[in-house]
Parts: sequence; structure tokens; C-alpha cells
Amino acid sequence: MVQAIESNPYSAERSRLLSRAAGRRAERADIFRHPRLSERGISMLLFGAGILSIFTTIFIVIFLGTEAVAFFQSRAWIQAKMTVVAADAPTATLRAGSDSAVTTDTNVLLLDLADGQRVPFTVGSLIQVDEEVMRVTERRERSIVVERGQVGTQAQNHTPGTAILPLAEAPIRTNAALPTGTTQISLPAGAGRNFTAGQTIRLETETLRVAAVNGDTLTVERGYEGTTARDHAADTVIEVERRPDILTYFTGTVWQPQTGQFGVLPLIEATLMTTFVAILVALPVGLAAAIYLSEYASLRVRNILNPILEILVGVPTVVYGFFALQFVTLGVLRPLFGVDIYNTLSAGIVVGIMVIPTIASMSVDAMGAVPRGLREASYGLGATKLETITHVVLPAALSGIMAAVILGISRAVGETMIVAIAAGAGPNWTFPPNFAVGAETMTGHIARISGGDLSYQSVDYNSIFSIGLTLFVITFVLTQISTTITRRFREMYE
Amino acid sequence: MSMNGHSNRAIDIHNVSVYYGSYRAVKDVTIPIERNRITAFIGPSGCGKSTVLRAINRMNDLIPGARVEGEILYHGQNLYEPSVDPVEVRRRIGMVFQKPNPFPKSIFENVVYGPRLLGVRDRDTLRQIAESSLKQAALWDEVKNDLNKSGLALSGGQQQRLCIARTIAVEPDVILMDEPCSALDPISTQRIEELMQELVSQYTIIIVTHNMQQALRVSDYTAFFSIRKSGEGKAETRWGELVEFGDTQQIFTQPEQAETADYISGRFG
Amino acid sequence: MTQIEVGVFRSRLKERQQRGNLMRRLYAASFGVAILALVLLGLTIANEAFGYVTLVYQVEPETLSERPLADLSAAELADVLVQHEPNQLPKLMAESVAHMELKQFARLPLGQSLAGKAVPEAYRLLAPVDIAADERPAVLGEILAASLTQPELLHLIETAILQPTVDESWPLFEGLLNRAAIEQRLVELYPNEMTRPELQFKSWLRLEMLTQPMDSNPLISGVRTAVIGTLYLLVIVVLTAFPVGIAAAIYLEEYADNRKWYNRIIETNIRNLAGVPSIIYGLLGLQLLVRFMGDPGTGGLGLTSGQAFGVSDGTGRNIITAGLTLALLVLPVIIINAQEAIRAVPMSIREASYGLGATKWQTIRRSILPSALPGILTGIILSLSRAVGETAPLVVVGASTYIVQDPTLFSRFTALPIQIYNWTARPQAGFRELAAAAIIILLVLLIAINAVAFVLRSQARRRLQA
Repeated sequence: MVQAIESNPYSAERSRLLSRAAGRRAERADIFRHPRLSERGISMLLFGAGILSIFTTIFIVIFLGTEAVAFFQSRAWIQAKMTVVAADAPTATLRAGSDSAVTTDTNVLLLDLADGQRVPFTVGSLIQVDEEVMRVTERRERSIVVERGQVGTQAQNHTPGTAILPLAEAPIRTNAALPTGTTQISLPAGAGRNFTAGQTIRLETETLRVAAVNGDTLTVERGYEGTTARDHAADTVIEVERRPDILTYFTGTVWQPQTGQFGVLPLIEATLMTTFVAILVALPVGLAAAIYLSEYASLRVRNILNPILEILVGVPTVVYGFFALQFVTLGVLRPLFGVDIYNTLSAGIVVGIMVIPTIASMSVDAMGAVPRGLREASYGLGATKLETITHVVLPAALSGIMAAVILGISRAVGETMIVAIAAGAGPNWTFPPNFAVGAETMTGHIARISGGDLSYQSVDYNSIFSIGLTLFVITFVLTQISTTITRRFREMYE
Repeated sequence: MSMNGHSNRAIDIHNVSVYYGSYRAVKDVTIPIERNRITAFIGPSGCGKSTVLRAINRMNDLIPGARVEGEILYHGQNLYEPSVDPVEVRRRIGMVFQKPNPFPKSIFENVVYGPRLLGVRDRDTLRQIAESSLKQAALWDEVKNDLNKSGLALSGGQQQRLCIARTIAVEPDVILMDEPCSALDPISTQRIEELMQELVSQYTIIIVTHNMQQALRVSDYTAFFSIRKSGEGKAETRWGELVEFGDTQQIFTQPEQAETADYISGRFG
Repeated sequence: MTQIEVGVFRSRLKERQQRGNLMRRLYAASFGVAILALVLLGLTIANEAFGYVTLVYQVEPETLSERPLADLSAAELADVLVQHEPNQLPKLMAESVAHMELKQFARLPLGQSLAGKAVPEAYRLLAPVDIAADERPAVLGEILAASLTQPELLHLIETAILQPTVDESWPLFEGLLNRAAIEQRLVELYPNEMTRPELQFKSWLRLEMLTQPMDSNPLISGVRTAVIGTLYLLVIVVLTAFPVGIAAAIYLEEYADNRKWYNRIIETNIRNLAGVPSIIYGLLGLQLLVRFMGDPGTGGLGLTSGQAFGVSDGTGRNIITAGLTLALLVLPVIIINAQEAIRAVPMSIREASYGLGATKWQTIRRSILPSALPGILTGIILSLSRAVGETAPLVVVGASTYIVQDPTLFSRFTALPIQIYNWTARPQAGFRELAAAAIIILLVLLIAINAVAFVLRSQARRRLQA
């Protein structure tokens, strides 16, 4: 049974070479584990690299979260302001209208102006008629549109000929000295309505709590929040506390941290506006491009067209921003429609151009995943190519296309440089949305505010993180929805 | 079997079952593999012959969820004990695959891949190893002038011989061949078969083949596998089992099992 | 009856086909939109980067020399400087030749302050203050002529004597098409022909921009510091993000068991990170790298601002933090692309290697990575291109906008896209044109990166096939 094994010269030589060069030629039977430290170390290094990305996310969440919390805990001390009749400013009187008196339900005031005289009030300024304070919202030829009953006053009826007095804001100062033991602060006439009971105020370094408001006298608790009560001279500036809170954060329409107004809506609105325009541009163009690439184009044509999409992806966004400002705004929209230099329309259009490849390439994938059998069934029933596309391919690929659009929205929401350059540099709430004027998006605001040596303790610093968190949550949720849809879609056809 | 015969075994497959997750692909296979002989695994598609082959050098470890029960003894040592290193096992039990799979590197680099892994750095030594391996794999004369050409530039049969050269370059003990000729033309197949006959004096060879004539031509022993079923419809499960093992001549001429006879006669027409 | 129905079908079919052809053209036209956008983009940039200007000089060029300045030799130009700015010469030399403060330059021996420059033997040991005042300009002029090239001297004359400013600027196409109207307007503005500035063609893109530092005058401002900043950022991204990204991809594809929950989380997380807006990475970099690892003066560790190594006293708003921020930003892109490349390596290659007794790492290093290299390179090009053009995170971590000195790793810095952003936003005449010129430089850099990577990739591919 056992044969003599003739020794093969090649094999014997190799054995000799291997054992000599490799130092040791392990015994044939030695198949046991030897510690492979380098192998171990490498695998741990690789694991470390893999896990690193988790830390990126954790850090993003922690940092945005803690700073956002700090933002909601922060407070700004704002000089208490009262409105006073502006001295020397031009005034006007109410004109007799058709039914002469101004009732509480009108918001248009007719002015009695000399020929050629212009309306002397600016939009946004406050005016006083009798006891009522109003805010001017629109200037017309010989009348103004106002918001009635501002700054704690009630709308009243007014008779023609009543003087309309322009108001100016002035800081509220104490009327008299405030020794340590006193709990009554006397204010200038008319200043009391700017305070409410329960409010926290500050005089120099001392924090006080307003217990009650009686006309123009405040009853206060001294030395509030651990501060020490101290003497204050007359004419001390009174500061009031402003805190951002979640409700006003999401419902307020003014974002002005310096004056204690923390409504993020104008920023979100601008983001939604640019995103809306962007999708309006990118969806039809991207989808049409995808249909052409996936259903009509030959391989040769595809090899020509794909690089165009790749170049669109490769253009830096700051270059797109330049394009939006120089060409779309200054070259087209402004000469044709007279839009502002900075406007959300132009930014939105160019963000849309940037998003086209995202929507196109993901939609191509979605349509490519539609089984050939479905198409053939449609052709077999005598449908034309277009009918097959619209009735079979598109419905079948719908969820994949939706995922593409959602990802496109996410891209548009997060885009910074185009909107920072072309959309405008200041929060601006417009209702109904006005695409022809400038407005700052969430990303644009972060970019502008952080573009300097921000102090780490400032409200501004905290606020960009709270906006960042809002942005992060929105895009994260959108991306997650998109990937979930894509996964479901893929499973459906596999 | 005598002690002498026992010590002449290269590998002892003993009651081996292979699972993929909870699915049992092969059940209770026992085959003794004689040293310096060619053993062939034959049987219909899906009978688990490749699975058993890949269990011998622990290639199944690469498939997530694969698990082996039973024993595969190599020099008396169970290959599936925790203290055994699959990498060391594969160094001694080499493998040639169904589709020639040279690395996208030069012919020379393909052959010295294994020696390099063992730490051979010296250029001269590598050259000698490459030459002897290619000569033994009967490829030297065809490629000696373009050792720097890509391995992928060779013909299918040459590629497979290159893969054999690559395998023997590390001086393994056992060579597993998983349908090595299924992708080749008849002339290349013949060359590989001749090569196997030459190599068997030096190595123990196990070959999985679909080709009955090939098994008959080259092998000393043959193991015939078949598919078993249980359940109906969706509940149906299939697994492979060893039907019969024995001397090749005996299996092909006087099989003990009717199933073997049916299969062989069916395949021969 | 049957015939009529067939007829109805036929006519409908024609209509259906026509509608199909119409839509097909519409779909194809969508690419027209994309191509049009690209063409317009290119034309807009060209339109701004080249154009017509009227310049106003502090000193008219004609008064300096009878011949055009550009035709003068280096010696003649140095002579112009000596003639017109004899008292400014030490300051000019301190700044543009010796690269030091005037105070320092005035007291150092010329052989030391101008080491390596052509200083006559006789003056090597003398400092500028040691040379007699009436002799000084001539000596310095001689050294200037010998140590600066003709274009450098021309630039010096521009900045020191001529000091041109843009009076008005017209973009290229307006200048070409509306030339007469512009001339007409000039005549109206400057009725006196003697003082009327000349309308001249101006290429804002100048090759010298690459070597000239920034200047508040757009006519002579270069982008040297911005280009250096961008190149530094690239190097940091290459050195950090690539190894980590490829390592993470190897882990996920070759080591990670997908049935383990944490591996699935890592995988999902990377995909989500790829969708996080770049400005959020800027905020991450600002808080983590600039604030917490930066300036100890504001509570940081001093790691990224350099204090921990005693090399700097910066604020942490530097190239290191910006580069690392960009690295974090492109990491997911690199990982995802590298994963795809590794996944595309056929199983047979892995089996062949394992079958020869290779360990996992040996298999990866010797078989999988070489085979996946072209694909990995593609991902790297993508991510590098992205890193070069990214602006928002740099703005947030605090890039500066006006940097005259060449930046170092720990100094304040700027980068090309930052400069483009800043110049685009400036209202003064000349800066948008300068931004357009910087855009061209940025695009050329991008094309160069892609070309290099394309060559590398096709080489790697050829090596695998041949």
C-alpha cells in the first residue's frame, strides 16, 4: 500500500530555500495559533478609524446641544426704552375723510398735507395720536397704514384735525435717587407702561424684581438673584431682562439678539424660500435629465452627458455665489424685474442649478432599478416609449425619485455660500414671502455672524449654535428619510 | 485498518456537518484521505462536495455564519479546535479554485506571493522559487521570457497552471482543487490532469469535479455525494450527504449503492 | 366596422408618437439648461476677469520715463526709483527685498540684511544709516537693480510711485459692445482732454498674482498668501483624512461583522454625516478645535493654537484647525468611496490570497488595496476637489480676509475661496473683478488636481491590467 515517495528535485529545492530564507520552516503539524501582535494592533487601529466618525457625530450633537442650551439660558440686558414725542420732528394732522372720524377698526390714516409735502413719518417708526401709539407699516402718497394700539396702548377713536406726533425711543432713567432701603422707583411720566409685574430689571450691578406697577411707580424687591442692594443716584439707566425661550424662538418674526429679539422664523423663512425656488428649478430639470439619461440616451451620449453633471457638482459653491450675484441678479433679474441687489430668488435659482446633479443621478439610479420585465409588459401592450415611462417607469421609481428630491432639499437647506453672497445680509421677515428682496437664511446668518473674532461668551456665539442645531436636525431628518426610502425601494426590487 | 495505514492518512474527515447559520448544508460526512493519492469528490450540483472541500482548509471561515461540526484531523490534530490558526492551516493545505484567479500582478509576483508572505525577501531566492514552481507546474517554458507580464494576460489554461505554481510555491502538504478544469478547454484540461499526476508524488490532492471521466482518469479514491430532501413546498429543506466512498475503480465499476450506480450510469449516458 | 376602428387606432398612434417625440426633445433640452448654466457661468467669470478700466495715477507714468515703463531694463527702472523716491528707498528695500521692518533694516549691515543678494563688497559691512545720505539712494538703487527682476521692479514702481487706482471699470462684453457709449460718457465727465483718463483694456487675471501678496488696491493685489493657505489645507487633509478614511473603509468592509449593532451604527452614521451641511462642520471645528483645543487664554488646551508646543501665541483660528475641520468634512466622502472600491474587488482575489495562507492584513495590504487603488483614488479626487472649494467651514472657524505675510501652520490665514467670497462682497470698484480672477485661479487648481489624479488613476489601472 505504501509507495516509496521519490523525492522531487524542484520540491526539495524549494523546501530548502524556504526554510533558509524564512528563518524557520514551521513543522507541518504546527498549525497552532501564534500570537500575531502586529495583526492585532492593525485591526485595533482600523477599528479606531472606523469608530472615529461616531465621535464626530457625538461631538456635533454635544456641542450644538450644549451651546443651544446655553443660548436658551442666556439673557440679554436691554436698556428699557420709552417712547417720547420727538422734539423738532415734523408732525401732521388727521385729514377729514369721508366719514371724518378714525374708528378703532381702520388702519389707514389720511393725512392733511400741503401740496408737495411728503408724508413725514418713516416705515417702522412709532407715532402718537391722542393717547394711542401706532406703528407705521406703509407710506402712501397722502396717507399711512398703521398697526393700532402699540406699546401697551389701546386703539381709540380719533377726530379729524388731531395732531399726529412722531415718537422717538429714549432710555428710561430713574426719576429720583434710590437709597438702599427704598422699594419704590419713580419713573418719568408715561414710562410705567413699559414694565410688567414679575419682570426682572437691573440698575447698575443690582438686579431687582418688579413686584407691582402703579402708574409710573414701580414697587420692587431689592437685591434680587443674590445681588446686593446698593444706592443708586437719580437718572440711573434701567435695564430689562430679555431671555430667548423656545416658544418665541420658533414663533418670533424678528431676529435681533442685540435688542433681545430671538425669533428664528425670518431665518427659517428665508431658508425655505431659497429651497423652494431651488427645488422648483432642480426638480423638473433634474428629473427630465434623469429620464433622458436613463431611458433615451445611448451609451455614447451618456458618456458625453454625465461629465456635464460631474462638472456641475465640481464647481465650488463660492463660484456659484459669484454667478448668482453677478449674472442672475445683476445681469438678468435686476434689469428685467428690478429686484433688490440681494434677493432670495436669485440665490434660490442658483442653488437649484447646484442641486440638479443630485436629483438627476439619484433618479437615474431609481429608474435603472425598475425591472426590465415591467417595461416589457408595457411595450407588449402596445404602449409607446413615453407612455411606458410616464405610466410604468416613473410610478415604479417614484419612491426613489422622492428620496432624490428629499436629499436635494437637504442640500439646498444646508447650502451656505450661494445664499451668503446672493441672498442678503440681514434677517428679514416678509409676509407674504417676497422673493425680490434680500433675506438672510440660517446658513447665511451663521456664516456672517461667525466671520469675525466672536467672543465665546456672547449671545451671538450661543445663538449661531442654536441655529446650527436647528439646521442640523432638519438636514439630519431629511437625509435619514431619504436613505430609508432608498433602502425600502431597493429591497422592493431585489 | 492497520496502524501503518492510519499513519498514512493526510487528513481524516470525521462526522463532519457544515452549517450556514441555522441551515445545515452537509450532514455527517466521513472520508479518510490517503497521503500522496488523489481523492475525487463527485456528485450533483448542490450536494455539498465543494463545501466539504472548503471546510478542509477552513475557507468557510470567510463566510459569515458558517460553522463546522465534527472533526477534521490533520496530523492527528483537529483543525477546528480553538487553538488552531486557520492561516497556518491554509499555508499547509493549499487551494486551487474553479475559476483561475491570478492576482492582477505580474506572473513573477503571482508565484512569489506566498513565499513573500512567509518572509522571503531575497530577490535571488524568490527568483529560484518562482522558477522551480513554474517548472514543476509545467509553465516555465511558456512564460520564462515574460515573467513581468500580467498574470491576467495568460490564457485560461495557463492561468490555472499559474495558480497551481502559486500554490506549490509555498510547499504545502495538501492541495485542494475545486473543479480546476471546469472553465478550461479539453487540451488545457489534459495538461492540468497530467500535472496532477506528476504532483501527486509530492503532495496529497483532493479534487472536486463534475466530470466523471476526469475522476476516473486521475483519482485513486472517489467520494460520491448526493442531495437529501425533507419536507414539502416551502418547508422543503435540502442538504448534502456522502453516499459512498472507496477505491475509484470500485466506485465506477461495482458501486455498493444503487444511487451511485444510477448517477454514474446517468452521467455516462 | 372593423376598418373604422383600425383607422381610429392609427390616427391615435400618430398623435401618441408625436407627443412622445416632443417630450423626448424636452427631456434632452434639460441638458441644454445644464450646459447653458455652465456656459453662462464661464462667460460671467470671463466677463468680470477681463474688462476695460480708466485708471487714475498718483504720478502719471509718462512723467517717469519717455518710453513705456514696461520696455525699460532693470537698471533703468531702478534709476526711476532713485530719481523719484530717493527717501523712500530704504523702506521699499526693507519691505520688498529684505522682508523686515525698516527700523531693523536701517541698522543691520547690508551684507547681513541682504544676505545672498548682490551687495557690492564695499558696502557689505555698512548699514543703510552708515552710508552718507547723498550717496545712499544711488547705492541702494544699484543693489535693487541687481537683486530684483525687471517685473519685480515694475511692481515696486507701481506700488510706490504710480499708485494707480481704478476710476471706473467696465466688464469685458460691455467694453467690447458699448465702446462708443463709454467713450462718450468719459467725454461728458472729463470735458478737458488733458485730464481725461484713458480707457484701457485690463486683464485682472495676472500671472504675477500668484507671487504677489495681498494689497488693499485691487490693481496690484495678488493671491500668494491665499494660494499658500489653500495648499497647506490640502496637505493637512491629505495627511489626516486619507489614512483615517481608508482605514475606516478597510475596517467596515473587511473586519466589521455587519450583524453587530455597533458596526451597523457606524455604517449608518457615516452615510448621515455625508449629508450634514458643511457649515455644521465649521461649527464643530470652531467649538472643538478652535475653542477647546485652542487658545489657553480662553480656556483651550493650546494644542491647535500652538502654545502647548511653545511655537505660537495664536488664537487657534489657523491653518491647523481649518485643515482638520476640512478633513472631518471630507472623511465620510472618502470612506464611502473607498468602501465601494474595496467592495468591488472580486471575492476570488481574496480567496486566492487566503488560500495561500495569507493573514487578513497581508491579504488586504498585498491584494485588496492594490486592486482597489484606482477606485480609492477616484474618491480621493472627489474629496480633494471638495476640500479646495469649501468656503463655509473656513469662514466659521475664522479665516482672515487680509493676510500679507506668508502664513505658517499656527498663524492667521486665508484661502482662495475665502478671498473670492470676501472680494465678491466688496462694493469698491475692482474687487469683484479681482474675485473673478481668483475664481479662474481656483478653477485651474481644481482642474490640475483632477488631471493629476486622472493620470494616477489610469496608471494604477494599467498596472493592474497589463
